[in-house]
Amino acid sequence: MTFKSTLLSVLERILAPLLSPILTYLALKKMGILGMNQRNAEFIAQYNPRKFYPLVDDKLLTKNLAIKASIAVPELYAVIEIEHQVVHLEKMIAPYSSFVIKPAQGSGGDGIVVIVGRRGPNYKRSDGILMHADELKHHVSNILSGMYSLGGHPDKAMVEYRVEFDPLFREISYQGVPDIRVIVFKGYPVMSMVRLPTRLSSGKANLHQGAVGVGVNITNGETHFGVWQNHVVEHHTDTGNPISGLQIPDWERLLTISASCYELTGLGYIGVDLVLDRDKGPLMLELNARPGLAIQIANRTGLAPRLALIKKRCAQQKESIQSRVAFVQKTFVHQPLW
Amino acid sequence: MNTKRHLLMLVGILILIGMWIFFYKVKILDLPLSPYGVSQVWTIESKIDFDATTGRSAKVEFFIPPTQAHFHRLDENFVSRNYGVTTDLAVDNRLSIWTIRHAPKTSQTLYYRAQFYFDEAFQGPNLSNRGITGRYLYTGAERAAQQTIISNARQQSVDSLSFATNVVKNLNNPDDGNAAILLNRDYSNANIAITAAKLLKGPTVEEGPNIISRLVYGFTLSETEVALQDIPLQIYLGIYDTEHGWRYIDPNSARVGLPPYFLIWRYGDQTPILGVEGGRNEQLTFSAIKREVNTLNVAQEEALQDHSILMTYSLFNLPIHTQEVYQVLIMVPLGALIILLLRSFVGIRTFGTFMPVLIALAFRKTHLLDGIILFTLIVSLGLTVRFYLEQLKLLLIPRLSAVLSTVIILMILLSLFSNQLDFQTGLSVALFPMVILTMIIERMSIVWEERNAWEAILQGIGSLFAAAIAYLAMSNLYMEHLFFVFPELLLVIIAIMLLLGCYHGYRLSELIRFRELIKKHDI
Repeated sequence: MTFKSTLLSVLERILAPLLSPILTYLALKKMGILGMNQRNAEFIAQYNPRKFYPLVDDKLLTKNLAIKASIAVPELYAVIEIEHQVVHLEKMIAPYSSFVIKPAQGSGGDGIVVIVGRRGPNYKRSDGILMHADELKHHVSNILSGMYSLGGHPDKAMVEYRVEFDPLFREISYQGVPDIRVIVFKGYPVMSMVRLPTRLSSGKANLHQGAVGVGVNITNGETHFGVWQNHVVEHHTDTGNPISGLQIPDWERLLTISASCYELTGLGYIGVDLVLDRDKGPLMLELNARPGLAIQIANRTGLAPRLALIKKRCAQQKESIQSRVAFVQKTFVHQPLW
Repeated sequence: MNTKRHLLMLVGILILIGMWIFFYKVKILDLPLSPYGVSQVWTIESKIDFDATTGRSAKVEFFIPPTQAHFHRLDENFVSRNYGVTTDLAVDNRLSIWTIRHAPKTSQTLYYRAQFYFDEAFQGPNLSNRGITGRYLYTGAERAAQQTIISNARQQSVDSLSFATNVVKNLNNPDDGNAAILLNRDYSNANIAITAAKLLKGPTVEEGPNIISRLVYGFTLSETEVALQDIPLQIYLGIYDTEHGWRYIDPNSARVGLPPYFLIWRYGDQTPILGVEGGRNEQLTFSAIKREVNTLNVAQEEALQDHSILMTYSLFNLPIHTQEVYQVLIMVPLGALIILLLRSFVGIRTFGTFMPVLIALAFRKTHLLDGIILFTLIVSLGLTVRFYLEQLKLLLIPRLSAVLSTVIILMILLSLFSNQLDFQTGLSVALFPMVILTMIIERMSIVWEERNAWEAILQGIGSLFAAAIAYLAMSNLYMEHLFFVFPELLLVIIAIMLLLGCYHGYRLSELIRFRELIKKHDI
């Protein structure tokens, strides 16, 4: 070994731990991965005016806006606004055998109870556990007191249609309702994923809570690989079934619904959460003004270049919803990083 | 883009103002950068005793120390009952004049007190080139002696300084008959110095060496001794040339230069330092006491003497109690900066944005390790209670109130126990902000239930870690000193915060989070 090569190897040993974060940083930058700071500063702070936040933070408001704009949403059965109404809960939900109770200002799917049927005075939850009417009332009281709302503000409870989810995802879901998250920037759907509940997420379709995120080709609605707890996965963690190669039906309609949510709220950078109903097709569930970044791992693609492209396009022209969707389907051809 | 330039300008202005005031205070007002600096401060007292005639007027003229190199005068005062005191500037000297119209009794005592601190770097004012005036013409044998000594010195010297030292050396030689004649056998320092001064000037302009010279009176403040009594005045011979300014010669050893810590009392000739009109038996004694004072206090006093507007509006002029409050508050922005760094650069998750700063403030009283133990103890006990209350199906606000009350009871119990066990820091548990603790317990239990236990513990540890880092920065003695003495540094902190706000890059935690993308990518 020559002196030079020894020197180089020694240098490499010393420099490697120092360099590796820098190299990682540069590699991520090159791949166009959007970081938290950049998302907050350049997209959320710039395109999401605070005054529009209540429109998405309050799901009741979002739902009413969507209905007005004739965007398909799960039907609203009842709203409980004050503690006094809780007594009448049973009467209000009497006509429905299955329904969902959720806080209007909840976050991350917290406080949602899905009832699939009745056993006398008891209600059967989607996970099979029976809930007594009193327990249900207590839960509604908790919602009203603000237990699940951001900042603990007093809240409203919504009772709505329980989505009969499309059998497409049955094999790769553990209880709960899988939903589809679409990032919409200035009315252009830029990236999407399917979120599959797992045992760890206790049936919730939230990546933070342990759901699996599956990247979806935005041009045609075909699923590929997934992300679970920031790790790349090919199979559902509970059922073991492969998650790639599924075709989501009604994809173009789903994109159109997502794209039209921009006009609904005026927020430039949002995450649109949709579900696939067996009979009613895609329904818009809620909007998120601070959508997460794990979608990039699920798609193995960075958001930044797509956002930059849209930014440029918006500066040049204003487009209709249809042509926006068409542009996206034509442009964002799926090219995963590996 | 425009906002970016705006921001950079704001940052620039903030840093400029902050640093300008900071440097002004450091360079001009001499405020110390370190909290440990100690300055030596001497309190000099001269006591004048004399006998006056009762009911008659008296006037005392007394030289007092002029502004000089290496010594800063902090304070001076004249203690003299019923006397009017004025001070005059007189060619490099300062003269104080005490006057009274009707001396109340025979024995009179006047005091002059001044405080000086030693500062090697202080240059002092420019001195005039005024030497002793008047020439002294010797006659007869003295004239011959004068000529011999001068011609001897001339032969042995190259410039005015070596000439003067040779004159002094010759005068000091007890075997030299010429010197004995000129000195009249009085070999005291004072006599040698004044004789040398006469010789250096020469009898006439045409003949004499024409070296400007004068006497310097003063005494050496001992570096080692703390108290000096009855200090005798020492005399040095000063000679002047335009190239070097004033240089001093010891009339005894002919050594050049004043000894270190030499406080000059007066420049001049052989006339006495104290003159009393309308009195007799005057006596003058000097004493000095040395003490070590925090450099900060010295600099403050000095700046106040100069009536610096910055010091008039300094935090030090607030009442002590308010100062103590600000001593804590002024560190909060630093803590916030640390949290900002930890959150948007490292990506540590904490409960609430600035909650760790509040915990860090509590740590100041409990100290770090004890603080962490107490915090963990209370939060985990509180969590247990919170989970128990959860089963009772209470509404949010009653439950929060109950947890808050429980937290306070837990704190009382902890204090009582630690008092019994003689565990002093346990008592300081009361300093934790209990409402904050309650909120942490509530937030933590919600995260615990809705995410998972691991996430809750992770965020708890993150909060504690952030608090510990913030505490270490905020309780650093140098930091405390810097921010309290130079609150303008807060402007710089704001500028840094604004600059950090421009960082849109990845957090350290994101490098780990998205690592998987790269690993697969490379393979």
